[in-house]
Amino acid sequence: MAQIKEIKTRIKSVKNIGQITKAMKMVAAARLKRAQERILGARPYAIKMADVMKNLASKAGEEVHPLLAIRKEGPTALMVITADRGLCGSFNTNVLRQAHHFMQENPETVLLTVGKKGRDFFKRRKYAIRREWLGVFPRVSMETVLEMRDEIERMFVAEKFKTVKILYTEFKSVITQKTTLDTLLPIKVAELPGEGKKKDYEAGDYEFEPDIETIMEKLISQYLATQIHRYLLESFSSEMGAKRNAMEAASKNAGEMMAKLTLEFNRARQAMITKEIAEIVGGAAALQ
Amino acid sequence: MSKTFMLQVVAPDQPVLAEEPTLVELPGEVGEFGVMAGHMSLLSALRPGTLRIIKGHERELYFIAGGFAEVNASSVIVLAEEYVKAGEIDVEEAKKTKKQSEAILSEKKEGADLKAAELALHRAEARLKAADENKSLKK
Repeated sequence: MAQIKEIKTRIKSVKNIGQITKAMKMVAAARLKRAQERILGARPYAIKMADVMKNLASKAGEEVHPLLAIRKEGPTALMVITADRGLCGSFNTNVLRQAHHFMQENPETVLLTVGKKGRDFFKRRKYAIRREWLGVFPRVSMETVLEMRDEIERMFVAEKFKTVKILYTEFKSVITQKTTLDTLLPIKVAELPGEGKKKDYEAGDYEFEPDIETIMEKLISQYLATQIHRYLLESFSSEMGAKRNAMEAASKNAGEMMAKLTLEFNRARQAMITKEIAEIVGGAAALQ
Repeated sequence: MSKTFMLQVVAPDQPVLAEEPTLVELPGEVGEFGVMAGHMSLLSALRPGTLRIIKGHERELYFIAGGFAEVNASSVIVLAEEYVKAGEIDVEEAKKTKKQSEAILSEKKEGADLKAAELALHRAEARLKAADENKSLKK
């Protein structure tokens, strides 16, 4: 009897867990969809911007802007983007493993973290964190992006950093996400993606208003902000994708577990009935 | 009928706006300017202001929050930080922002971000202007 009751409570708790994971999966799927729409919206802007910048840089030469400066020496900074919360499979672990590896190879690196998980990870290991951002997701606001941009820009220009790298999770599809290390600064104009419709640019000599330096300066800071924005959105989409998958697996496991427990429950019930009948039959036989 | 050209307005968080107007008026950093087909190549910074898209007798207004415009003989690409159709501007919100930023600017409290407040004020004013112009246009 006691065993049956125990199994009953377990079935109940597994059922509850299954309901929760299922709800979390739905939430993740909905957020993923919204994040993907935002990425798709941001893409044409980034491409057009890269086009204009490429064109400008070829006119102005690479020395024209401090964010394009290529230095042989100087400190390196690494910006690590993780999630604020867990329950998303190996999403955080993958990023942090690679980040830890990077830090062991380049111990002098200055750390910037986005997301609670990354901050906690490095804090526990007694790394100095220069700047941390928490609660950036799910609403990636332009204000936060500009704050990050300003910090990175300051480090690169005023403190003569050699390079600022960013470690994030690229969103390939709902099933595949890839941890990627990219260079934020210096910006290498020649490597920018873009449609590169060369013909137009060669044909017309541009006039600049107010002047090329002012435009370049505005354009490049704006470009950096767009990049950071994109990285954050990619990372968030990946997080939601990973969470959706993890929660789907969890719901499936809960379902399997429930089937198993129900079977066990029925068996125990059956065994009890059989036992009772045997006792009655035994008792009746004794009376005769 | 004058010639048309391609106009694209893109912003980081919004879908691309594509039109084929005969004339566009843009709020340039150094002053407003109009563009027709066959314009010389030009790259201009934009300040917050009103974007007017003119197609024959039709006229459509948008608020844009600064950015850049790349002008070619056959196309204009506007890289805006944000754009809003003039009819959809939230006037109350803009008025509120305007008041708030004016308060910050007049108090000049220490630690307050005066530059940001000034920018917010410019934007709110530009927004209101675009909405006003749209209203008088409809009359």
